[in-house]
Amino acid sequence: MDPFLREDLSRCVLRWVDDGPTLTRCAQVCKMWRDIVAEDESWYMACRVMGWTRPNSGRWRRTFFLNYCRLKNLCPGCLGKRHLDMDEESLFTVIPICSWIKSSGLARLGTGSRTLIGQD
Amino acid sequence: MTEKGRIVKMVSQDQEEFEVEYGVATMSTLIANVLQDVSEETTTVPIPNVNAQVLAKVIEYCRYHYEAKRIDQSEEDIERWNKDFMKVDNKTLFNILIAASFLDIADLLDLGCKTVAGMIKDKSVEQIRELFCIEGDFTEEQEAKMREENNWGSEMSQENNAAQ
Repeated sequence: MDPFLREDLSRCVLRWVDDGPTLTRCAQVCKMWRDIVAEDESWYMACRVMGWTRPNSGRWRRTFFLNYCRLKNLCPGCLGKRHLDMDEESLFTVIPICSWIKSSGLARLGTGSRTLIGQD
Repeated sequence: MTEKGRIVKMVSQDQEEFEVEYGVATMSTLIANVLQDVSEETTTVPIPNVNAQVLAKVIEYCRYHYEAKRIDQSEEDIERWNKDFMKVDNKTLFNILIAASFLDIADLLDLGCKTVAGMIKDKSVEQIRELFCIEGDFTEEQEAKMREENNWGSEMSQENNAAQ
């Protein structure tokens, strides 16, 4: 394997990736990259270029997905539960505006979201 | 001997010697630390992990930035120069990254990483693997699951590409 792929250098490079979709593709490249992308700091740049700041003691990854959902009028269920560990208050903020719910019912909602809005 | 007139001889992996001004050489934290720990008569620093071609590029970077700081070069000029400096083939670029990491030149490492990160943007998983010679180590099931979970990312990219 190319020595360029040493873990420390891969981490340095991935910290400069500044958009979420590219980061999620990087997570599919290999297990080492998946683990690096899972680190919260990997999401800092993606938030920074969008001007999103995290609340005190918040996580960058969560900040990215919460804001991304709002930006795209999506609920977290559309992105898959694993991407986000949202509290109830945040879920209720995004669910009413979700374009997926409006266009395709609840088909794309994750189990957690369905439970929260009282439907199976 | 004052630091101003001091010359440091850097010796590459393939035994090529480069004479470099002290201020330029010590942009590398590694070399600065080495020179602090030895007597002033010591002028030769072996760089065993970096070949002559890459070391020449690293020195070119350090020399430009040392001078740019001294004459207070504009940010625009520096940015333009950095962009041109990074126009190298992938192998050289990766080797510059390794050298910057080894020599502990933070600004060069950041510049290289930023450049490589830009190369990754909008590439598919397969294209990224090819670029970095990575073999996927997921099972087929894991790959399929990840593709499904991350489908929103590809949709977003397609939207972006269509908008462009």
